[in-house]
Amino acid sequence: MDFMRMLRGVAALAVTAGLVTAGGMAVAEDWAQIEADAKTEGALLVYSTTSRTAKAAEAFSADTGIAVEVVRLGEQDLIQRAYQEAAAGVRDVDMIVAEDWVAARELLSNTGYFVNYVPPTARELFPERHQDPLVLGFINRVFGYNTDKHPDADPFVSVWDLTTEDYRGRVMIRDVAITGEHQNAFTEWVRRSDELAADYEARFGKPLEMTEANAGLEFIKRFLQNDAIIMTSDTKISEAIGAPGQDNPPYGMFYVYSKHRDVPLQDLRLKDSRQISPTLGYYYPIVLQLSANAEHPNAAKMFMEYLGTLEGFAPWADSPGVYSPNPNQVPFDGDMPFAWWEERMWGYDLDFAAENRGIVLDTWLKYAQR
Amino acid sequence: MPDIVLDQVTRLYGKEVRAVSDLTLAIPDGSFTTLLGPSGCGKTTTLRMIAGLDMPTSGTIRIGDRFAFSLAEGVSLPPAKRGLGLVFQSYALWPHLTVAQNISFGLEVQKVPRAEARQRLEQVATALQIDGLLDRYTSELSGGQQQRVAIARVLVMKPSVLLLDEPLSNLDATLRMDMRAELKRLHQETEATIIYVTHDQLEALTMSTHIALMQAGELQQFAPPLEVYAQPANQFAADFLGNPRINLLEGRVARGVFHSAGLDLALPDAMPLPESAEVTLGLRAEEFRLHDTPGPARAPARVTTLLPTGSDWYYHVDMAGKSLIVRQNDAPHLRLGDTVHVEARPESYKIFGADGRALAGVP
Amino acid sequence: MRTAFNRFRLKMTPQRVLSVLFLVVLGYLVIVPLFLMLRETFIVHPLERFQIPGAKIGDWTWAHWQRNFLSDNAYAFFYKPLLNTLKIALGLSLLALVIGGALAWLVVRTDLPMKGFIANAAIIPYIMPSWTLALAWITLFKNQRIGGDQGIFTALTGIATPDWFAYGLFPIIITLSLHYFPFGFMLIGGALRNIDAQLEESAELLGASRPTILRRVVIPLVLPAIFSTFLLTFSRGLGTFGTPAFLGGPVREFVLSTSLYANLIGQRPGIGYLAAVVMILLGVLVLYMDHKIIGTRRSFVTISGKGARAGLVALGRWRWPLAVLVLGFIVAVIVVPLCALVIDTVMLRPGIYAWENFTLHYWIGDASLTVGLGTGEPGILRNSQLMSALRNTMVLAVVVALITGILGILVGYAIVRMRGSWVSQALDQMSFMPYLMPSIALGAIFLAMFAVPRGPIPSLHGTFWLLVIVCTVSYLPYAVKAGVSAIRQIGPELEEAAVMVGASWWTRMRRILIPVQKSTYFSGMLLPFISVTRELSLLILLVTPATQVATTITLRYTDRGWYPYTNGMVLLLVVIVVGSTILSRRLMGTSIAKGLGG
Repeated sequence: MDFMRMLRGVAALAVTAGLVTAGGMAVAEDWAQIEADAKTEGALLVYSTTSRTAKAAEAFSADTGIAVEVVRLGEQDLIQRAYQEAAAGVRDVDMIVAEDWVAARELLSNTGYFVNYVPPTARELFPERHQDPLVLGFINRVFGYNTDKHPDADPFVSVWDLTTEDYRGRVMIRDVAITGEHQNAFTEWVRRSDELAADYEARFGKPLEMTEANAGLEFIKRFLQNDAIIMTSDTKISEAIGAPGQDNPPYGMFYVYSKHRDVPLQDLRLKDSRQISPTLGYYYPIVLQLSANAEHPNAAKMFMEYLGTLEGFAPWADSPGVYSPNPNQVPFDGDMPFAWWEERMWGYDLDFAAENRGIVLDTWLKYAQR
Repeated sequence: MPDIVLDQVTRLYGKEVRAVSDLTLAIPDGSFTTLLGPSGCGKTTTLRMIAGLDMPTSGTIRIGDRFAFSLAEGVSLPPAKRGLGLVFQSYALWPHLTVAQNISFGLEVQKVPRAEARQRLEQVATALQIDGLLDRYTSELSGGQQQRVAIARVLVMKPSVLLLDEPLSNLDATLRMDMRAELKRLHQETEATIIYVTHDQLEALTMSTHIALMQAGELQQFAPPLEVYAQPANQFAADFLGNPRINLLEGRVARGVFHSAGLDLALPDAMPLPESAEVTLGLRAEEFRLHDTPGPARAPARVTTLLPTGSDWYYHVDMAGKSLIVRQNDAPHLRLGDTVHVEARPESYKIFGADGRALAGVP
Repeated sequence: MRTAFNRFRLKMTPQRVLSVLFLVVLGYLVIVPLFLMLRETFIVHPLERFQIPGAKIGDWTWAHWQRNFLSDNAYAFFYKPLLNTLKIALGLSLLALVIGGALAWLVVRTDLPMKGFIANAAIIPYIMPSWTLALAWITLFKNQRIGGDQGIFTALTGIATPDWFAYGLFPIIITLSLHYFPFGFMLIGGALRNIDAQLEESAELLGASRPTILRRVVIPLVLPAIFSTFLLTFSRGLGTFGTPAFLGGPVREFVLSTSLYANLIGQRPGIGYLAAVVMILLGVLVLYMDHKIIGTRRSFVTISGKGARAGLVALGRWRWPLAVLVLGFIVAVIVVPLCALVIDTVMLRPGIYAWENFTLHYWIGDASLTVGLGTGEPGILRNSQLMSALRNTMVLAVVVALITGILGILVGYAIVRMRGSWVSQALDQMSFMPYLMPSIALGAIFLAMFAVPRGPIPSLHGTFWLLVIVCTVSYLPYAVKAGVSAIRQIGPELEEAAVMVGASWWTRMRRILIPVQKSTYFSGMLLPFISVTRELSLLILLVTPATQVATTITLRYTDRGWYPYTNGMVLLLVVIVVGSTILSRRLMGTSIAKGLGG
């Protein structure tokens, strides 16, 4: 947060550089030793954005006898707290289960406060691109509609449909201003402006006319000018779309697909679009990182290992919309494997997102006011 | 028992406001000294400085042979160490305590043994006739009873000096008369020094052995009451004391005779007043005679108001445009509009120069 | 030189020493955070550097100020949200005044029936979290725009509500004023109670009509209370986030606090804190106006018990219609939202209001992955984590209430006894500052301040005491208000009489000053107590697994849409708080109204 702390951060980075490479090099590691040390270290403290980590921790403790305490924090609260504590030299937290890696990387990883670690199972099975940062799982967010209104066919063709008169005042989205991952996702729309513009032309047969700098920002403008409805929670969106008995139900953009778990439980008439182009939504990682100052590094490593196994991932496997990078994980009943989504959905580029999400947020704030 | 000596005491509020200015005053041991003056004259501030609740900006206060306050000595005795007791204007009784608890609070604080405390409480309660009220809360008492409790609370500490801050102002007229007598009796019985603050000149005149008259933070006169009455040190003192107010006649002196509004008054030979001096003469209401007929040293006037008080008669008369108040104790035969002839018969000559000070040499 | 030193030495009375001590401590706990916050607005933070050409992390910059106040988009970024914020703050204050004032007048000055019940119930909306009313509004009045089930109003009448009625500034102002009107009720009620009836009666004798008396006599007399209410509600209106975001989003009306949250979430704290600084400045402005306009007039009427209580205004044939109206109002703003919460916790599947769907599963059920929402969590009352968090909340609330209560007395004492000096003014205003600071910003700054040892203060990070300190600072304004009003009603002579007999400062406090106003002090502890039970954003960055409180642990349920748990916890808190309020009234004669200085 201030310059001196940054300096200290850089120093910490230098000190811990060794650890990073050690984590990367499989040969140097004696897992049996880590397990032995972990038992002597005592209780582990984890900050997590997902409440299911606590479930996993219970099972882990039952297995190993290592106590794990989990503090559930919002994405930005987690980043703020981990950052401030590390900057102050507090050695409380051992590992984090974080979202919004764009922001977290700037404050936690680039500063050297947290380091990546790849445990054996992940090293063996996870695709390499999901090893650094180590991904616990991916979350996807989708476009959705009400099946009472559209019983036969998916109403969406292109994302640009949402900016047309037919959808005026009917599309809901969680407030981008308070959703870091939405900001990241839209940077990808900026980065892939050409594809987005081409999609417009393919849909409407004429080139996209822009007043904004690129098609991504142009979309944000048109989307908001089409009287989009801004909500504060994904749950409210999926329930609003799917509630039965509506004449004119709303549509949803970028709500978490895992809400489809509630479809049978609450009798929701909710379906996600599988054909909207150029992207079915977006996906983002839940990231595991080890504190560079951890007091219980070996216990943390064991827990990270555990979370990479099928057993450790079980608390997340009880709903659609969460995907382990572990190729042996079977998708939730009725859901597609991550590879399927990855092909049809955009993620985002970390560097580009860091540089451009300010512009995305500003564009959003500029047009969000009516 | 000690004298209380204030030496050049000044109290500033902020940089500008001089609440008390350069006050030097020696209050004799055993006296009943009244600090008298209009509101805002600094009398309460003075009392609080003596009590130790307020601190002078400069000057010293001695009680007996000890400094109670001196900046140079670095001394400011805490109030409880000064041997004083203070009765507040509002009585300041503690509403959450009973009468007995109110009175014995100080004894408890001073760790007086329980048996002695009990005895002193009963003694003082009996003396002030509140022994039947000891278990009541103070809100259940009448004003007069509260007053007694407040005094008892102070007396039980056996102070050598008793400070009273307008203690009668919250009482009704009859009660006030009774309490005056009682306070005077208290003074005689205890032989304690009493310092009494009031703006009521009648209280001051009736009760005190000494009056310290103050105005705008400055001491005007310090003397026994009758002396202040008869020989006011300045026009303010003359004006403030006495009921009804003193008549002030502006005039000129020529060949030993004072001339004003048609009235001539021969001054005693001993008064060395310069020829043609512009002076003000103070004449109290009782220092006039009204005559039916003209005569030497009589000035004609017209009766404008008649005010009987039962024992006396007050007349407002208009003497060549100057309104005078005159007191007569003989039966009235005058009516409104009658012409009378006014003669001055001063018991003392209260003559003030242009600066308002009494002129020297007046007997 | 020596006399100067002596003067200094002799003037070191307890109240002076105390004031200086408080100045230093408050300075550290209030001014330093303010300064840090302000400083952040001039610094380039990691994610901000990309939009400031050539800037490095930690550089000094004007860019945030430039962006907010002068850029091409300043209107959208700043001025429009500012305008909305002012509309909300102003609207909610006025409405809270009107509702609170009218209710106070009815209860204090008329022969309205069931006054005792009404007076007690009128405080409950403040005890409930403010979002319950927003939620109730949406449930009642939502229209097709936000989809889902029909709003109850539309379902019953078939009339679709217009957007401006269902969402945006209008319902924001209504629901917030329904939450904050108890401030007006308590303060104005207190002032009305203190008015000498003779003032009104003499106006009546002069032939003034009722409305004229109200306008020319009563209102001017309660003006200080009106301004106090305005100050308290307006400042809250400036910083509030939850309700405006929830009700404003659907029609896209945003406020200044949106900017604070959005930019903190976007990891642009420089821009975010700038919004916080503006909110604080606006609050200070209102505080200043309050001092200017009311300042000297707020001389306290000491309750004398003299002057017969006014003959109550006879409402005549309006008596019962008005009573029904007031009761209806209470049912609408208290009973309905509470019932909605209760119903939510006993419906196995949300939104299906049928007897078959009734359950106590969320209260006392076993953990299950198949029943209802399939949460895999045991019911609230059997959930050891929830219960231990609830216990933490209660311990924290009690400890904070006691500490703020004691500090309130001491600071109040220093403020009143030093009246007229700059120290008193500084203490007075400084102790109100935390009220103006958005708690999300305060939490972050306290985290940074106390994570490392500083001088004599060890690192408090992760301790229960850090939570205590943060809450104490945050709720000190309430306690100081109570302390000031309590001490003001104790004439200085009561203390001086004890000085005269040699009672030490401590004895005076213990034997005189505290017992005399006991119930007011305890009342001063009620508001901190209530507020702690509801606090989230201040604590979220500071709790550890061992110090989890009810609100922070409830997040994990809110998060996954498991509202029966969230609402159940809210209900438990409301029940506990209402229960303790009633208990403390019985035991100590406390009332929240006294706690606000009413």
